[in-house]
Amino acid sequence: MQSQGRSFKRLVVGLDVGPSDTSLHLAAELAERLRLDLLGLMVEDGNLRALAAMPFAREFRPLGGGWRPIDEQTLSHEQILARRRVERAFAEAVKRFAHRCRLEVVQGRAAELLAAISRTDDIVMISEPSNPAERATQPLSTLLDSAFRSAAAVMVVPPKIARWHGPVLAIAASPVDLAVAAAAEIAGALGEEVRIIDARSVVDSPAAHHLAAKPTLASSSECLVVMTRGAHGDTTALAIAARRGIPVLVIEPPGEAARVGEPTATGGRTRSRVP
Amino acid sequence: MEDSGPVEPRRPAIVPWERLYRRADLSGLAFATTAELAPIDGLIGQTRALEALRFGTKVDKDGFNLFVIGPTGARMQDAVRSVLERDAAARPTPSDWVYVNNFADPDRPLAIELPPGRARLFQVAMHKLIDDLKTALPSVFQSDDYHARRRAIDETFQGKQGEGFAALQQKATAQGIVILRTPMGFAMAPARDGQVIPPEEFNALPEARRHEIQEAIGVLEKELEGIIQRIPAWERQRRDEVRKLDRDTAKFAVDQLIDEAAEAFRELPAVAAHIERMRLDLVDNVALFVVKGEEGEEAAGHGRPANPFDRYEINVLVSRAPGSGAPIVEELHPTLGNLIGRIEYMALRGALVTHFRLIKAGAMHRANGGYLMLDARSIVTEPFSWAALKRTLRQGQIAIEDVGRFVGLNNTASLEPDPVPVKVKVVLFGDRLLYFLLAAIDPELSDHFKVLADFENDIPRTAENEALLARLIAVIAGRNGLRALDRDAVALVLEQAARLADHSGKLSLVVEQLRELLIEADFCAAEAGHAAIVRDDVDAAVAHRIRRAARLRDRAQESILEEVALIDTEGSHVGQVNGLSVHSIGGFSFGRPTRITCQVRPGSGRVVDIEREVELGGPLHSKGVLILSGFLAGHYALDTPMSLLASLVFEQSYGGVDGDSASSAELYALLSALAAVPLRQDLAVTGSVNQHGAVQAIGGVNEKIEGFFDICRARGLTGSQGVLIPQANVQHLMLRNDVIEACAAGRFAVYAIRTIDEGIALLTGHEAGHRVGSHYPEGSLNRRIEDRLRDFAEVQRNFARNGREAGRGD
Repeated sequence: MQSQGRSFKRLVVGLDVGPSDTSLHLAAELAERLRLDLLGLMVEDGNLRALAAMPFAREFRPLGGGWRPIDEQTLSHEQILARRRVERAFAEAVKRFAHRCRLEVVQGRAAELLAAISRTDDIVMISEPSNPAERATQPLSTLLDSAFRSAAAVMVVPPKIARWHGPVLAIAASPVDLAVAAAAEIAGALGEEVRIIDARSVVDSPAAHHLAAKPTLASSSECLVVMTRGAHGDTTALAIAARRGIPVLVIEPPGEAARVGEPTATGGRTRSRVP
Repeated sequence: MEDSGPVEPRRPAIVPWERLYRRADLSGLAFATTAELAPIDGLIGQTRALEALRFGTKVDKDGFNLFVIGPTGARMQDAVRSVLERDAAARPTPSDWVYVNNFADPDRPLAIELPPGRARLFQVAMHKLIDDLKTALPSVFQSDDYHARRRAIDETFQGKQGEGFAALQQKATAQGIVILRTPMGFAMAPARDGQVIPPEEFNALPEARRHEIQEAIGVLEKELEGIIQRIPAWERQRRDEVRKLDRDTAKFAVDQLIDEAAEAFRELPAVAAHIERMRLDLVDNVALFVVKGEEGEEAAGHGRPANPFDRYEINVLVSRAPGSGAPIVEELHPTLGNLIGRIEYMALRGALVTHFRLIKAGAMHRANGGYLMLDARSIVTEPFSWAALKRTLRQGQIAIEDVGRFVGLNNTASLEPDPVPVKVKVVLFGDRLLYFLLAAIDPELSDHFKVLADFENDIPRTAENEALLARLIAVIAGRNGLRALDRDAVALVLEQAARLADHSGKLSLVVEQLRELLIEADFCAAEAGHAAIVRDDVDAAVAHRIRRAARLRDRAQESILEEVALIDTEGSHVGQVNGLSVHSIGGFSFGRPTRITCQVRPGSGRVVDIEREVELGGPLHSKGVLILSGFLAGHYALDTPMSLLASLVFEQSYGGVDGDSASSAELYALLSALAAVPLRQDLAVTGSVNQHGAVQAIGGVNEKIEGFFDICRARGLTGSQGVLIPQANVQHLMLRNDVIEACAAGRFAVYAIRTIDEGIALLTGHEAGHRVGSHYPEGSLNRRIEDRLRDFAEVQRNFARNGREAGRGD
């Protein structure tokens, strides 16, 4: 997909130990329809190995599992099982996928890895966990900060998606806002209509904030919002996604994308699989 | 027959040729062709059956169903239907019935009664409601209002949960502890800058510090455990809130639509109650009908055997137009399913499944409130149907049962639909034998079929009835699209009706036989290029029908003419007579002569029936032969023991013999043998006899006469040939035209016989002789017989005396 200087070639979706069907399904469908390569990125927390070496280490398992001691051998076995779960889910999601797709398992901290692995032609998909415990252990804001620090565009996905079809809405901060062209490009690929909101037309309130707060705004049936980072606050995308139950794509302004440049090396151990 | 004095027996009279056939009298009916005749229904001459039908249809009590019996081919169904139609039109139109889903127990669908014609309206209204709901429900659940409220609920609970974790996170961070997500759960570890302290570094810490950290982790773990254990409760609360929101939203969406749909059925409590149940079910199960955002939940209908809205459809079991009267249903194939309805199944992923919309009505449902016409033979031969019919009538309700479960064909889950109350008048049709058999072996028959309508086989042949039958012939021709019949053709059809009735004074009411004849006559008329069916066409049709069926008759006659089967048609012979028998094969009857012979000698007083001895004779035949013994015992040598051994046989008979119509012929052969007087072989004999010597009526007289006539004619008619028939059978004569012509020309004769004395005189040329005092007149045939019997007795006595003397000498 090419859009006036921003050319997206890859969709990167972060996968944890229990990937949600919603984010995987959305990632596969978007990648297919936008003709992007798909990279599933499973991050194994490197802290867990250090934890397992502690003499008092134990984990609490919900659903009646209770407290159980944890050691390196048990942890290793469970991580293998978790990888297999993710592999199965990923393979299921991309089984009809015509483009290149790949699942990588990396060790490290998700926030750092995302920033390091992504490129300027990536869309990094960040899904808001529905489970509060996961939200607590893996703060979304940290992830978002890392993603925004990268050269990639960022797609924020709410835990529940309200609509899978509908117009693509661009929030334009200026007449030459890249969000408009990107939204038009995506809408064309999805076979949907594109609608544009002029952020300056909303009196006393930035348009994006207004959109987040007022669900009855004119374009009420959109399935995706596209906006440019910097024109609005970084938490705006999260607020829109949460309030309206739809993904929000935040693209980097041209100068920012060039400034961020090439990704840094992660140093993490990587395993890859092509279904 | 008591002797009343010395009266000389009447000489047997030749039946005048005019009495051999009775021509139709249509003088009272003015018409050129049947096209001019006023139509008439099929119930002529059926006063008795008509009265039964009227009674049976008017009595509105349990068990007064009708069993209509009569001859095969009488087309009783048509006749009864015409009677029922008149009655049904004046009766109220029965209710419609529908099956609806039982939301509380889907395996037991509910039956609802509606006024006639309303079932389809109900179905359409519910279908429209469903269509509206399909649009309204998803749209209201996709509205921003709904999402906003839903999001508010989610955020409230997420906030509640998040606060707990955030506080814990904050507390942990303050104490240098991090919460980690493991593959299976959560754990805590000492950390610095968000990174877990390496184990070696932790182990290098002073013990007090390590202990302190572990204690802090222990406290936080308890808090973590508490928070996590509260998650299910929070989730339950959230789901309850969401469910309540869904119910409120659904109620908002469906209430107005349902109220509008229910308005048209407000006066029908059962329908209104169902719609209310439907409203509750919709609200309770709204998740089935709308696309859900929850992970793991499916969009409406996806992955389910049927559209979830199908549960609200209406299965119209039976519906009738208002004012259409009571239904008349004829079920020609009364299988259990066709009779009381059935539950169908459809294959789904390798399993058979069913639901209330797959319940199909049976004939009982369609006939409910009216009449159900069934063929008795069909229903008793269909498995389970007869029992189901009686059970339904006894219970007064139709309970659909799955035949597959009766015989263990399927064990899949099935339905138990609400039984439907039934008020139906069942009319069974069958032949008399079947009715009498059923009455004998099934005591419940009389409980359920209390009204018998017995159709006559024939009607008296009066001028009025001939006119009525002529009009019926016109109706048959009209209904079957046949040419009209001219007067002569109608007359011949009427005469054939008399022939079919085996009685010149009666007309057959077996309409199907007349219809077959008319169709063939029409064919002959078409071949001959006639605009109307004329007498020759009917005649040709009769001849063709006989020719097609008469191969066996022709072969039998051929064997006689070739003297393979020995039958004399001239001369005379002692102890030998031509008997006559009738063969009925495949609906065609023909007569043929059979030689009957007798041998006598002194003996123990027995008449041996050889047919009986070899088990070829039936009980009626044996009875006839035993009657001969009674005749001899009562007529001859009354003061002397019967010392006769006689043997009687049907020569060259290789099949079974039954009936007593040859008993007079056997007696003639026996008397001839006793008197040693020859019998004429140019005559054939039929008729049964009683112990007093009276000759009695038999069946098939026309075929028998024609059978002997055919042989005589083939060999050449001599003028002396003829047939002896019982006087009582003269009224049955409807002979073929060629026989009548021969009789009129004096080349053949039919003799009407009243007594054996008349017959033996004709067959021997000797007077039988009437007993005067204790003896028959000298020289009479009876005197010869009596003397012969006394001689046999003397022989027996001498034999016995010699035997005793020989015994003493020894």
